[in-house]
Amino acid sequence: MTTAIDLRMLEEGHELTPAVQFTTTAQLVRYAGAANDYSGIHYDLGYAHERGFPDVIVHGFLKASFLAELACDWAGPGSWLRRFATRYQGIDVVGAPIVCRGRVTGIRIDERQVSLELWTENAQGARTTTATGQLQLGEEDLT
Amino acid sequence: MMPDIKTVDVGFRFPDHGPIAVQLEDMVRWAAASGDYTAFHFDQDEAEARGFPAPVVHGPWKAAVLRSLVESWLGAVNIPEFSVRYLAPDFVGDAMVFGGEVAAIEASRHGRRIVRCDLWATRSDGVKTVTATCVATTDDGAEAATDLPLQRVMDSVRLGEPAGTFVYRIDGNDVDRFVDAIGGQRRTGPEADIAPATFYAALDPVERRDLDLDGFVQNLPFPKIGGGNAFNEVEYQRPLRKGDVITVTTRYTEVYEKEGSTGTLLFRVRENELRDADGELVATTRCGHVLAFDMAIARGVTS
Repeated sequence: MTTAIDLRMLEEGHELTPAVQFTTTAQLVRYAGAANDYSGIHYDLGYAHERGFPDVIVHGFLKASFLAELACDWAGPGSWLRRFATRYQGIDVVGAPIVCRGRVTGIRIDERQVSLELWTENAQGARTTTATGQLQLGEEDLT
Repeated sequence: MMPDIKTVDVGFRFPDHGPIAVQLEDMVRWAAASGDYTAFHFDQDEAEARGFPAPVVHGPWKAAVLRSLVESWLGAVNIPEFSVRYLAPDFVGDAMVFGGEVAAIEASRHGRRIVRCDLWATRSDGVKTVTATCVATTDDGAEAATDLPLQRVMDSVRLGEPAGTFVYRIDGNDVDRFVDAIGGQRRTGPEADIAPATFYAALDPVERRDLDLDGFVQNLPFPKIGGGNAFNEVEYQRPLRKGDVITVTTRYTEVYEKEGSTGTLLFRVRENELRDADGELVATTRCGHVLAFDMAIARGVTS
């Protein structure tokens, strides 16, 4: 297994290439089924309105998943998150752009671990989800 | 005449429901309603492959039958607590009998009648396959209280004690489905069996509604103005993998309130411990759930 990151070249403060997610109601329904989370605020517009939301809202866990995948995609094959903690700061409604960002906050070369802070931003630039993660990288590429 | 929740006495034995032969259709309908499509609940071949003589009756279906019986036996009631133990499997086609009796009666300080019931289900050879306890209360509308009853919330989630243990098999298709749903890329090669970091969400007994201790807070007589997950945390010893059989034990660890800008916030924090088939710890997770109540409205109404 190889990894895309050269830890010796990596510096604290390094920013991950952002990813933008545009959710659809179909994706929220797929997620509801995949996660067994059937709360109606994620797909039932009438119920979401009743609860005071302008539209159906994105599962917090789905936003957390976007961030976890951003980290693992960046770190490359063989990487996995040892720790991952998410705080939900605000809602995102379906279809609105969700910008996923991350930044390196710590590097442990011997353990091949990288600490990250990650967050989602809405179109107004407000952070709606914040997270911290500790990545375990795959084996070093010795070729 | 059947007594109701206001007249029933301790020791009263409710009339049995059954014997009823569980139909395959019941299981298919339950699968569709619950989203639990585990095949040995409706597929004869799959059941036999696992050593069962016939499809296995969904445990939560049995619990749902018992819960609905309490409502029909006692009339309009609240059921703030309901806890169930699955002792043995039941099989489609077997004749089950559901029963219950009144174990205790108490009065709340607001004058509500609190009826504790023992419930059970037996299979055709008379063996008890399910036992449950529940608390039913008279549905008298709002209590004359103006503060969140934190102690009773703590009791309702059995704070600090194991609230439930569930076993989930991580099916490869379920992992792929989850990866597709989050727009991720399926892993390939030697790490193809690794599940996404957030897959633990799919193994949470509360999100899956396998564990439901929500009745008490849902029935609090204060206007709810919002709620949802506040935070999630996970610490893995190793990644979750396709094929893992994971035993999840849920424990509520914190109940507290905070004044927020929108109202009074009630936090309930629960921890899950995930162990594999060898009993090794795979992960611990924490989930903080928040409900917002408008106590100002509640106080205005009740004072």
